[in-house]
Amino acid sequence: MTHLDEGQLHGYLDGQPQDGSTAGRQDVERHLAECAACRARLEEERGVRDRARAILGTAGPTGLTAPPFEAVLERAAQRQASRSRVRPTVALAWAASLALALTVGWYARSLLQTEAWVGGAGEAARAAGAAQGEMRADAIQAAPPARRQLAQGAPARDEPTQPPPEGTREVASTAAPAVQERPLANLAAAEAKVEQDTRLAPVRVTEAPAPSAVPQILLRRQPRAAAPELAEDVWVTVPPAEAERRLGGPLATIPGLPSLGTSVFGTGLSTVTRTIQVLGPGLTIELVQERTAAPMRERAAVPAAAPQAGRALRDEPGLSVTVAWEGFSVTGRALVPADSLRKLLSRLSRP
Amino acid sequence: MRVDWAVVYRETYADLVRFLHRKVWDADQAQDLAQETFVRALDHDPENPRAFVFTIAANLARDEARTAIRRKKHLMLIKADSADSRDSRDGGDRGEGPEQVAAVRRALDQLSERDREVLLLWDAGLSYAEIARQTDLKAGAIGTTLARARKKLVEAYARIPQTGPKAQEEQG
Repeated sequence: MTHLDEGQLHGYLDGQPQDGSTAGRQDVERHLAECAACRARLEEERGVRDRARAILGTAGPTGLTAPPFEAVLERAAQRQASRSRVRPTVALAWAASLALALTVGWYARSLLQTEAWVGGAGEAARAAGAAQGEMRADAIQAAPPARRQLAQGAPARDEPTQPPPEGTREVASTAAPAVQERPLANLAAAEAKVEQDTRLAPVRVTEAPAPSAVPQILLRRQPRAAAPELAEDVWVTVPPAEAERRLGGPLATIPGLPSLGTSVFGTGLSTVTRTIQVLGPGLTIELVQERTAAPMRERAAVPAAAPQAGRALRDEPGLSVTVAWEGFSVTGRALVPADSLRKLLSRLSRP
Repeated sequence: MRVDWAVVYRETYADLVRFLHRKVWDADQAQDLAQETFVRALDHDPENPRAFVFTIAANLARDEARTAIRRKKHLMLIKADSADSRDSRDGGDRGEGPEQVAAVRRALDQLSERDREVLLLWDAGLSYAEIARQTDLKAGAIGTTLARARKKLVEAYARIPQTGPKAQEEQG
């Protein structure tokens, strides 16, 4: 046997088996018995080992007593508790991110379609845009400049809805220009929403659009000259038959969708109904129906709406499309692409 | 068979704190990391609990060293002022002052990472086989590595005068 190497010597000193290439403890002892040189080296290495151990021994806390094991268990319990608090948050954040992505994507898609529709809506829409002063025709077709303008022009989301100034009231109360103007306004609203959503924390996306914003806006459009009997400022939930009686005509609903109820505001010619129907899980469409004072075709020629009306509508959540139906104007509002909304509104019928 | 972590804790704690102390060089933090080690070990049922504990501890210490190098240095400077009272409170050092600890630390710093790890693990009571598993070295290489590490430590320590910076010259 050749001389022992340092590894073997230290392994021997440490009482550790030297498995691997070289022999075990007996072989080492056999060699040591007949090799004085290795015996000398063994003692040398023993000195190194003891010295190293002594050096290390001076450098640390010794004589420690362990705190009770319960301290560990308690800490683990706390960890468990905080983890179970954290996990749903993480899951929610993930879901919120997904919701954000879907929402933004959906809006972006519907914006393109809305623009296309606006582009095809003819001179009235362009005139409306021109009347707004800040939205040029090219801006209608090219989304990014429009978005930039809107980002500057759109009011903050938290800003309370301002009642339209006196001068704009009559414009707002005539439905036809609104029909032409709404896509623009909704484009603005949607654009602004996309702008805002991308800045907001993801959780904000999960907030359902407040439906109460709608009656408020309509309420302010209500004070017409021909509505002296408008006494009560409340929405009343009524059966469909009663809604039709108050409207004096058929109630517009989308067939095949479950209804969450209809409420009525006002009386006589200024009666407004609001019907909520379920499109899917967490997704509703709101139908606001009111009598149109004049045939829709005539209305299309009415001069474009003032910018203030558009600004007020910008606060409306979701997208809305207004159609003429059975002598009424019906505004549908839902967080769905504009073309889907129009398709839904094309199926209006009585309940 | 479930591991009785309470028993492992009692038998391992002191070695573990010592092991951790030589990595983070802070008695309080070493004890904190030792507890943390067991918190993380509780859910597991390893074949060799003692080796398992040291594996966790080594990882914790590594993470800690990565994230807190600057803070550590700062702490050491602060501690140097008040360490006398502190260390005796912390756990009954055998009267060695901070200079002594710093000297050992500097000597250990001269070792290669692998040599140092093997040396500290052995000092913490792990067997060659356990050290081999933890460091990914061959079992037959532990003796050689340990021999080299011990020699370097002794030499490096001997070169450290209680004041001079000469010890910085040689690097393993």
